[in-house]
Amino acid sequence: MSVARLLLPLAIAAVAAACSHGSPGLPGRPGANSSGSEHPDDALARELADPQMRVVTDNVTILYNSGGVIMGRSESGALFATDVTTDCRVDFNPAAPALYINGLEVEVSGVSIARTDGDVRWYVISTASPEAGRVIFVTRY
Amino acid sequence: MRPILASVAAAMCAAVLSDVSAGLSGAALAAVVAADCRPSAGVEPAMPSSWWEDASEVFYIVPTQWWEPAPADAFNVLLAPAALVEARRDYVPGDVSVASAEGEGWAVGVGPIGLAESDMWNVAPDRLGDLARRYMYLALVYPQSLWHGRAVMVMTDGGWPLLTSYGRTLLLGWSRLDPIDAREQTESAALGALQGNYNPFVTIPGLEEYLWGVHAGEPLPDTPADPVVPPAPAAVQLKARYSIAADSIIFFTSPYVPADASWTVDGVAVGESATLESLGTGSHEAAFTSPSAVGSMIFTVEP
Repeated sequence: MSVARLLLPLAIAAVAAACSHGSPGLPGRPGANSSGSEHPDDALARELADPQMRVVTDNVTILYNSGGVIMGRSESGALFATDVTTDCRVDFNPAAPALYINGLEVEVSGVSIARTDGDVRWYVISTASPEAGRVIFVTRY
Repeated sequence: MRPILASVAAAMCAAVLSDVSAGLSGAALAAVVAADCRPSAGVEPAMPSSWWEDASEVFYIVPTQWWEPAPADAFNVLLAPAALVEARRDYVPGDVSVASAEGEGWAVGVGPIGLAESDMWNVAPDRLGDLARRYMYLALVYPQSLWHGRAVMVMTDGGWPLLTSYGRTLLLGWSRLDPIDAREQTESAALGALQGNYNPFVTIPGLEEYLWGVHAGEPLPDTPADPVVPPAPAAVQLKARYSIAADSIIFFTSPYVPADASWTVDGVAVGESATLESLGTGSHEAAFTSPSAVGSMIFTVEP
């Protein structure tokens, strides 16, 4: 295991508050994973009903519609989301697959496209990191 | 204009102008400069233009509908694309926010004038300053006691201050965004040589600032060759929220976006920057395209 992965839980915890600053999420949004009494299937269904571009984990929330969030796709097909206010950045390459949160690689155990609607795709990324948990990456790019 | 050879008029005008206008300001400065640079006999050579590649039709920068009779002046006429000539009508210059017709290097549509909206037109970012300095020259040299039609959005009746608040803000902004360059100096000198005069806004960089801008009310220095153009505002990276009062300009630059990206705002092409006034208050989406990436960002403009 790389040093980066050893440090990842701490890194994710450290940036979590900052990444959520200014992007407080939708009312009632508990995160990509179920929390409290909400059933995991209900949490996912709620995410799939929302077409807003965003990246949501248990600790990191980047909402495009909040403003100040650059979302796009690189020539290689990698997707990115950056909050220009907090500098929080999530990079995701579906083809690899590879996931980076603020430059730190998060081990991906599985990727699925849970829904498509026009140009919008809902990626559900399973990670081996309990801190990152399940990542929802919704993009039209 | 003093009886000097037309071919050297452009080269000499800065020195001539400094002789007669140094130390003046405001209306007095405008009157002296106008008298000195007004052509004794204007001409209308529809000069081949480097502004547009497909230019073929005669085009008047200040529309003929705005004044009666329209003076002949080489600085007011050039060749333009037929589609622009047809679409522009008698519209005012402005920052088009929704284009109804557009081509390479021009757009016609609607955009904001204060809290209202008007038909307007504009040109490519690297020609905005050229266009502004032509308008300012024409307003200065040919003051009208009664402008016609849409002119009143830009020009003031009866002379000084020559330009409306909208006109001053727009043209000063464009002139700052696109400063005088060698290409414009060459084109302006060629036009001046044809009719024996010059455009003082090209030969005296920053003159507009002494008439209407940051140096308004101050006497024109006796060394006009010194740079008097205010420093261009430093490019500020893209952010989530802007204030028209505090920020004035949005720069489409970010460490997260390739430097060679081209931008649109709400679907309309923009240059490297835009005035927030032209975009209007509310939420906007800026989208970029480059060979290496595409993307977008929402930002908010507040009063």
